[in-house]
Amino acid sequence: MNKVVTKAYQLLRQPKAKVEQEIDQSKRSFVGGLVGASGLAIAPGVMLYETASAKPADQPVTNAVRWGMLVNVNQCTEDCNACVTACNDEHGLWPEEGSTTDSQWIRKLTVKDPTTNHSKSFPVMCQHCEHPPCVDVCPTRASFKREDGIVLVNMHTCIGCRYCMMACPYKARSFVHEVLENQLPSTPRGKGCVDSCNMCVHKVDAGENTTACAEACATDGHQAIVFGDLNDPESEISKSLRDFGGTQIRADLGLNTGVRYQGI
Amino acid sequence: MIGVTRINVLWNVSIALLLFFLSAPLIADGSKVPPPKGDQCVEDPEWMRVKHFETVLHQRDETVIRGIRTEKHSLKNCIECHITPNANGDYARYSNSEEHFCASCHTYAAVAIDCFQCHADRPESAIREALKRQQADGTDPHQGLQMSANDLILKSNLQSNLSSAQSK
Amino acid sequence: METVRYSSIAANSAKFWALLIGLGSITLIGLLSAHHMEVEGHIISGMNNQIVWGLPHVFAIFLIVAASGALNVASIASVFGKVEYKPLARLSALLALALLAGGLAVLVLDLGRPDRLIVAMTVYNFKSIFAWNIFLYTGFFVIVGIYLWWMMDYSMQKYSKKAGLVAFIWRVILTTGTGSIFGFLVARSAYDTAMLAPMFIIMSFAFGMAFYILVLLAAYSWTNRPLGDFILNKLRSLLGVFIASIMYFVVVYHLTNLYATEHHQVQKFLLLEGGSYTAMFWIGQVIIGGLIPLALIYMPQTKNCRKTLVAVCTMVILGGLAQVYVIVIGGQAFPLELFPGMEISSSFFDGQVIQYIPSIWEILLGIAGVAIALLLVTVGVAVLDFLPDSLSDKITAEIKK
Repeated sequence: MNKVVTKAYQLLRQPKAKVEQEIDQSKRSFVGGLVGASGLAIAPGVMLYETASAKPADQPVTNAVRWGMLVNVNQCTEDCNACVTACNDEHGLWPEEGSTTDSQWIRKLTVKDPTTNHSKSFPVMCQHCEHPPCVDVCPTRASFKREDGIVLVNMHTCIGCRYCMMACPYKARSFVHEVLENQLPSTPRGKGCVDSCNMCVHKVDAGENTTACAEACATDGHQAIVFGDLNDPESEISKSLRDFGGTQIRADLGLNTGVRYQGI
Repeated sequence: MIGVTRINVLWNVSIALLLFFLSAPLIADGSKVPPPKGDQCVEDPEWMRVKHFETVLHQRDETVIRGIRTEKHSLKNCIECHITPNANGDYARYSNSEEHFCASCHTYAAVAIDCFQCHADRPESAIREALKRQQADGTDPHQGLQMSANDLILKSNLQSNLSSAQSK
Repeated sequence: METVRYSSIAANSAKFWALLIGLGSITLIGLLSAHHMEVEGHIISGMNNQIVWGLPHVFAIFLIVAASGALNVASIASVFGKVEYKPLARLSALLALALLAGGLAVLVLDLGRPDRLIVAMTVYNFKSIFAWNIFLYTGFFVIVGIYLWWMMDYSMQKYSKKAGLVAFIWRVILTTGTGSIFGFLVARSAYDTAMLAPMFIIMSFAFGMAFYILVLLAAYSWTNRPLGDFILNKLRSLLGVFIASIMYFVVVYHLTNLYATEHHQVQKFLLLEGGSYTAMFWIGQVIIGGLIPLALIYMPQTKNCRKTLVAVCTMVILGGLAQVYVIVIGGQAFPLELFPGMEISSSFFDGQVIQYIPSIWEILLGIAGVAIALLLVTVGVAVLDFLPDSLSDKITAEIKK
């Protein structure tokens, strides 16, 4: 019990600053951290800090939350590409212009009504469906939905069959066609596997409660993208959806997407 | 079952023996691997030499599927600590089997891993710096075949395929 | 039955070795291409993020479909009790196994990570039709293998009819599974239909029969064994029925889609404005794969002409490849409709038809699949007693009595 409390204290106090410090700390932390993890969940007092901050690093994600994003199309401007640039920088994508083979996790889609010539531009990425067709068709379960609703590719078991790309209604997935260099530590990806928007899962797990695209959009002053917990009725995203409504792309497919749009 | 256990024991013993002989050239002064940042590994080094792949394998599923991101056994952390710049300030790549911590041993033990086809083989700061340098040089950070947009659309053309293959 | 004697073909002629070396070289070149594609990545193929399945898939699906159809001849004897087909059954089962092996080789070698095949064999997602197909394909090998063994082992022959029935049921399920790979893709306008599964079954009948007739003709003429017109004409008229059935299904598939306004765009694309896909459909699939073979089969002047039969079977195979090409690649080339009725555009080529030109590596890999199948048949008939010494009209007439 004592160990558990010590561990919880360490986690609480864990500074996010220097790598040396972090390693120093892991050295001090007791052996078998994962065994302690199961004890943590039931230990009294620990719940306190769970509400105080994000999910502790040694705890699995749960379906108590469902992460989602809300895009307010009316606040999105046609010439702004900040979300796309931020995504490329965050994940080390940098697709070459005009390339049909480079990965694009997020893209600005222009939708024009041919009967009225009215057009709108807004970002489209993986829609993080509740019932994702990519997960249904994946033969090796490499395409999967995390407990918290984020749809990911487990690149350790992806065999590169590309059936998920055939199944996705949103054209959200890309196949890595060539040997990559300079991948970033938080976004490992490589030749022969499929990848797509991971809702900045490393940021979410670190408790940052945002994504690169949402952050960039806010920095640019548009605030068109809201990230949040769809399960929490008091979250900004849930309130906005409740008050102003929202639509899903291809709602007719009944996939219950985690990314919603306002003003389409 | 007995057969399986025996194989396991044999396997462990042979690995241990191999690593015992292996550690000699690494520890010796001849090693070109720059020293790690800290002075103590997260586990006992002897244990780590024999078992690190089990730890990494376990952690990988925990992280990807369950979102558990403890730093102790994370590959990212191994790299942050073990991959340090050499005297010239350069970071070794996994493809450089003499200077890269992981590669030096794997090459010696003839172990082929594919971790670094996707995972970063250097700390993030080193990669960001390399990218900045590339941008300063005017080369695109994108590392694929350097083709113009027009070429890429036509790249499936038989001719360009043949020529790209020949140029390699 | 005593009148039918089987024997392996002599493996000592220069012709046999030339064939073996020829097929072996094509296979080797294909394997090297696949290796090159694995090392460099799919960047050296014509595929991209829009056309994710290219020519290798066309060949793989074609061969897998043909494999199940090649078993037809054996099924006609064992399931439908037509004894005159009985002597043809062994080759039928061998060809089925060989075509499936060739198709699967191409499919596997086109994966992004073929080195991880073990993952596909050990981790299953039972909701995935791909995962079902892994079972269906391995099951096909086992069942047809047992069927072959029971047909060829005198002491087990009494059971072979039952094995033939199981194999028949299995192959129908297998082709349904292959057709469903596409039929279950709700998001793609060209695929979202249950028609694809039965259409794939009827396609398998024709493609498999065409392959079978070609192999039979080659084997008997190159080894100078008698082959009567009676049995060939039977196979020829069956092929005619199968081609006509494919055309019926194609008409119904397009008509049902044309009735629904929401599918007008994709139909217009495939039938009128799709460029190479439209040409492939009308010239490849309809004229070369359908109308001309039908005419040649039912023209009285060409009744016993073997050269015409070879031409017919070749055209059915080429037309079949065109048909699979239009289904697989044409279906992907038509852009996804994220907002039905709207015009969409983006840096990711939304709303655009993407050109796909297969690279030499894909072509070599695809052709190697065919070579692997034929290589296996060549080795098979040289090693074991697959072929009857004679299939003359006299022998066939005696069996029928």
